[in-house]
Amino acid sequence: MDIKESALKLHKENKGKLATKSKVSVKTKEDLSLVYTPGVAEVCREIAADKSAIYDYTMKSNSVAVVTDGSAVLGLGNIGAEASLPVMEGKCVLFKELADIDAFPICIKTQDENEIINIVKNIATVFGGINLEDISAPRCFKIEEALLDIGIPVMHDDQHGSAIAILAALMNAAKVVNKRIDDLKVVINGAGAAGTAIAKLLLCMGHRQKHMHFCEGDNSLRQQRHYLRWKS
Amino acid sequence: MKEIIVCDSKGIIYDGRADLNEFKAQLAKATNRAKRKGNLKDALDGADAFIGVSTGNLLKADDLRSMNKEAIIFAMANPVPEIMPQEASKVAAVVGTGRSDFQNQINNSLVFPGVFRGALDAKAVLINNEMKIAAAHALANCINPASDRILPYTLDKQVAQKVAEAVKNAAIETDAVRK
Repeated sequence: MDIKESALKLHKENKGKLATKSKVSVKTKEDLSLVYTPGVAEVCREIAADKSAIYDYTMKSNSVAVVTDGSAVLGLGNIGAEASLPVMEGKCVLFKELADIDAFPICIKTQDENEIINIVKNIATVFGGINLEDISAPRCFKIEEALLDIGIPVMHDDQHGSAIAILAALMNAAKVVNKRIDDLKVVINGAGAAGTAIAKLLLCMGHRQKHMHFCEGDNSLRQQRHYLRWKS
Repeated sequence: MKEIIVCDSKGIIYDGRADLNEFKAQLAKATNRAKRKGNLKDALDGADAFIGVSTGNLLKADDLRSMNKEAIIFAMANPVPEIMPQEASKVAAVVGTGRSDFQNQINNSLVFPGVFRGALDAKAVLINNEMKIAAAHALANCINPASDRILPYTLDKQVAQKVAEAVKNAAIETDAVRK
């Protein structure tokens, strides 16, 4: 069987790759009264009185939403929300396997930027982080920018995950050829999500002072405002 | 970085190029200080590293000969790289791609689990540049690099732990965390 057939078989036999799992057992009436009503109401009251308690009493602190609109999936392009789900499930499997994070796929039907922004803002309650995935450029820049100050970490992986991996590879490749990373002349081909993020990361690393305006334009000023708000 | 030049499908991006959207215009202002113009092959003249995140089969080995000695080639286009590794290796010293069936796979699976683990553990409110750069350093430091092994194995579980630790520390140091 070749890889295509094997992949189809794996996905069909398991009906996908992901399931949810309960952390507690519900075997008796007493269990039930703690897990669900009436006991759970006390937990709700705690969170209603202090919203930050959601991190202590719920799944939020370890959960990440993997959010896509299916507009730039792998090398397949704009294949839509439904067809993107296998990729998002796979990503969630890696989150669990490699970092013990409870990740959940969210494939949004609309490709309207403002609608996506609003949806993510409104579902963020449940999640400790948002991994934006496979959203086409330049739309992804606007969407991520609008979500930077929602109070939980938001990262478009096609931009920054790729940029971080490439920066690490460049650091080690420079070591191998005995060049200083600060001395490198670098050509980036492709000014989409990944190319733009790599350029920005290299700039913010290498020319901190010179390109400060650029990094600030990116997110530093926003961060400052944000820190102040969160710390007050 | 001494110099960064970004190209798109129409060639080198420079400040003042007429057809740039707002994001590329922003890039043009911060990169390519010499305001070089031309195509990708012109850009490669005198470069130390090529990072391709575009489309397959753009370059031949001969196109890399104007690069500096000991060139670094990351041809990340999927599934077909900008230049196949065996072709790039005729000229370059280090060659990487996004694919698992060639040496030096550069893949974001090495990054996102650890970055989010670290961000969640730090109670971070966002992922800032310091956290990203710390992640890159931690990932690079996972191994002693050689020309055929610049990054650790993608499924090495220690990688996410090390990246997470670095991201967590950077988040706390830059005060990007909830009280």
